[in-house]
Amino acid sequence: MRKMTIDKVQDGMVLAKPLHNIEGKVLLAQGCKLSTRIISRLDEWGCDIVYVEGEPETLSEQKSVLGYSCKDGDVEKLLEEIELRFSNVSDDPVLQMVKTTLKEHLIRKYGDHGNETAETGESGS
Amino acid sequence: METKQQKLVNLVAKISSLPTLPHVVTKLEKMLENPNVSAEEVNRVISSDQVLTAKILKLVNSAFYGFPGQISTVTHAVVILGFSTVQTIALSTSVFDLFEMESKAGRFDRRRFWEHSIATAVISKLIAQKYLPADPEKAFVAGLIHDIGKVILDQFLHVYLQCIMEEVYKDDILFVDAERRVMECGHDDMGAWLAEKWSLPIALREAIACHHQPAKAKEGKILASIVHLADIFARVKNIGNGGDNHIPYLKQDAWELTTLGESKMQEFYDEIDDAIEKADMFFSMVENK
Ligand SMILES: [Fe+2]
Ligand SMILES: [Fe+2]
Repeated sequence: MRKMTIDKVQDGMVLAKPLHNIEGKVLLAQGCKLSTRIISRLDEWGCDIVYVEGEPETLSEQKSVLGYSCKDGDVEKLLEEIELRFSNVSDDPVLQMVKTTLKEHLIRKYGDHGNETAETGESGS
Repeated sequence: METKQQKLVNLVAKISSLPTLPHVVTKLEKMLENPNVSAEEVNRVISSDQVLTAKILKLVNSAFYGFPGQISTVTHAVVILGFSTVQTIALSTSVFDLFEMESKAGRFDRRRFWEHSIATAVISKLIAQKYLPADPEKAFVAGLIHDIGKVILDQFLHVYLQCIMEEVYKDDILFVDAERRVMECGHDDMGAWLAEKWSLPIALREAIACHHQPAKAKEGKILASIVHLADIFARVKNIGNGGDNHIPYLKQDAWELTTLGESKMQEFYDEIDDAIEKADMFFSMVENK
């Protein structure tokens, strides 16, 4: 997947992630081929960054890993990682609560509802 | 015995050329003191710097500010978003430009560092808007530059930074704890010192100086508490990296100032995810440099 600002998008590129507007409504679905006509409208729609198919060609085209990534839906492994990160503050009651609620949050985000992760799991993918 | 202040002075004396903010940004900072300043006046000052103008327009039109693709001029931006937001943006992009993004040799990753800083800024703003009322723009700036002392160390006192990072990795400890082993003043003192050189307001300087001990702040106590918590939640959410891999202790008094609690946490985490995603343009700016 390549990440780019709209000024770099070219005719024929294929969306690797759906395009949302500010209210979160899907404007274009994943897999949609971008034509010059569509590209010229991206700006009006308020899009600034798009994700298209293909191998990143520069460092800036790589999507940065922001937050936890849940590889292959392995939530258990993620929870283990959390335990490790919090291991030095096990005597802090607030941080224990933070840890527990964070785990709930991650299970909600990456757990059971496998098909929803594409929508909500973006910051961690 | 030398005082902490003297130690800091001795250390920073080794820095030959200190990064300074662009003239335009300093001028905006001064103009902010005048409540009656007009959008036209702000526009005139900013327009004198074409590159800055372009960057400001790019950011005001990003999802983060809620009017994507709708703002065509600086004047328009000031009218819609307010002067202090535009000033925050000017300051933020200038700060990115002052330092090289490429990491020097060693274990300190600058891009990951700036991701940590942007995340702390975004979360600070969120806390200020919702859980511990304060000026959201000040909170954003304070969050963004809270650890700027670390970049100063990396850029100008690299030997010290390398020693600190060695300690961090050797014993898997927090950056602040490693820092205390290596030198007597910290990145918090150093950042506050730079903020003073940049003539940033006292509350902001205190927030930087006290982001690890908000109780020590006076005028900037609220801001310092916000940044203290945002710094921790950026780590909790694992966004970016400020140099180490653990969660630091959370100061109870800062926590109690907020309305956050167990029942609000799910909502809070979702809000963080949402705000971070909308702040994509900030992250891209760092990555694209
Ligand atoms: Fe810090
Ligand atoms: Fe930090």
